[in-house]
Amino acid sequence: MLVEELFEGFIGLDWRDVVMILVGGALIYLAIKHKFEPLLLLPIGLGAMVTNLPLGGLTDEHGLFGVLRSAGLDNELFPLLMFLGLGALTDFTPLLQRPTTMLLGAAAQAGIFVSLMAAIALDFSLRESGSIAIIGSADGPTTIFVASQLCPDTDTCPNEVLGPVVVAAYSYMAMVPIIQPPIMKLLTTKAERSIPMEYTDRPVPKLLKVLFPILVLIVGGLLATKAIPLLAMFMFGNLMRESGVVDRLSNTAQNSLINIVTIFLGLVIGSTMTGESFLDLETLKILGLGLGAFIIGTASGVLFGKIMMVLSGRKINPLIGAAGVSAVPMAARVVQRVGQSERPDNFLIMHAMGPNVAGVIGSALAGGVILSRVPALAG
Amino acid sequence: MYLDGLEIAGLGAGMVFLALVVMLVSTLVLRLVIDRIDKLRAARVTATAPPPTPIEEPPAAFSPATPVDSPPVAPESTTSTAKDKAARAAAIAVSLYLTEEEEAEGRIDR
Repeated sequence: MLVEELFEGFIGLDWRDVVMILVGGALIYLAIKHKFEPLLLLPIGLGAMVTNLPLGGLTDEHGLFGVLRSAGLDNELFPLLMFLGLGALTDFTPLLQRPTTMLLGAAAQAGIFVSLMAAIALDFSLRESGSIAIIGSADGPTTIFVASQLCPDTDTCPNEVLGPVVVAAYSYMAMVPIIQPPIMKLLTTKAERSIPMEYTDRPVPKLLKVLFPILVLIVGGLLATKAIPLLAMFMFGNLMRESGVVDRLSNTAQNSLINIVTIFLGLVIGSTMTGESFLDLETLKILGLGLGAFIIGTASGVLFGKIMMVLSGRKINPLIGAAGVSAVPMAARVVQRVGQSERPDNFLIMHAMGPNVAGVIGSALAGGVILSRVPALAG
Repeated sequence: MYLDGLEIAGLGAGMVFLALVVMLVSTLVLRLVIDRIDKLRAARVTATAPPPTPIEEPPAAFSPATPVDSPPVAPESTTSTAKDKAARAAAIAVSLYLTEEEEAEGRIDR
């Protein structure tokens, strides 16, 4: 009896728990050793480890993770607060200097809609397919926002998709430097990748910077009503930054607020990675579909970049299209790295930041459309 | 369900493109208007500005190379008068009183 009490942790351990503890360890390793999205993968990894230790009680209704999940993940709170902070961190200047790159942010959303069709073909329900497809937005908060509303519980969606979808989204975002370069190289020639783009620091009037978030909110809100919460918080954050009159609030949103939410969000996402819900064939399918969405998004961005290259008389490097998949600023950095590997004096990062921030707007709009159409059709 | 998926995909892709094209056009129009306003404002400032004052020619005897003796500087007074001290003390007292009053009313948060 005493021995059983002493070793109750070992006795309660299942092989799936062990696998998930190892997965958590792998995420922590990637965060520390390779610095892949460490702000997220570190808390996610630890959350996954802790939640798979038996009898801990953290994921119970009144445990820390349980409380955090019901307070911030099962509703819109954490993703929207994240968007507020991201808006305050985002600088739209590169986009406003070359507004035509906004279209690349739309083209790169194709991955979402192609993977929606693929998920339906793999026998997922319409709600589950919508949740899986949004992985292609390459935007964590948008993914959580959409998936938590489409699949809040197992009554609505028979398969547990929220956890795998969120983990897939953040993991692939961390792996953008690995996923994107081969696709970019496959779809472009060396000559195309070497097209120089000179950076001219064209001044953007302050009035335009202040009016732009309001414009995006009104236009986007009218065309995709379900995207209003995401757009509103993002643009409010940006307005605080650009107005220049509420520096205290802007600094809080950029630093303290987003850091606190990141800690909570990472731990809670990690806590959804239980062996029971994670280690099955459906999760593998979700991970595969998410990867496909990322690949197609990158490819469609690059292909649209090639169209713009032709239309502009080879003044636009098609690589910047790959940054349209959101994943700010990682995707823009990848464009810079790939472009510079072909031509060391070519600095593409500022040109890539335009489609990169446009991708955030595009993915929020795509999420809004999915949120409005999927429940209407699925019933 | 495939048809539903196709509908969502078609509508979604179209809507995202449409929204970003509308945003692009609106941004370009907005930029044009702002640039025009700036130009008009600059033109008005130039038109209403007083005529520039003619620069006076330096006297012929003036030579920049000529060393100019610095004017004698009066030694700084190290002791202030009793009147100055009283005025400074009164100013400090008033500012302290106002701060306390604002704190009491909750207008200053710490």
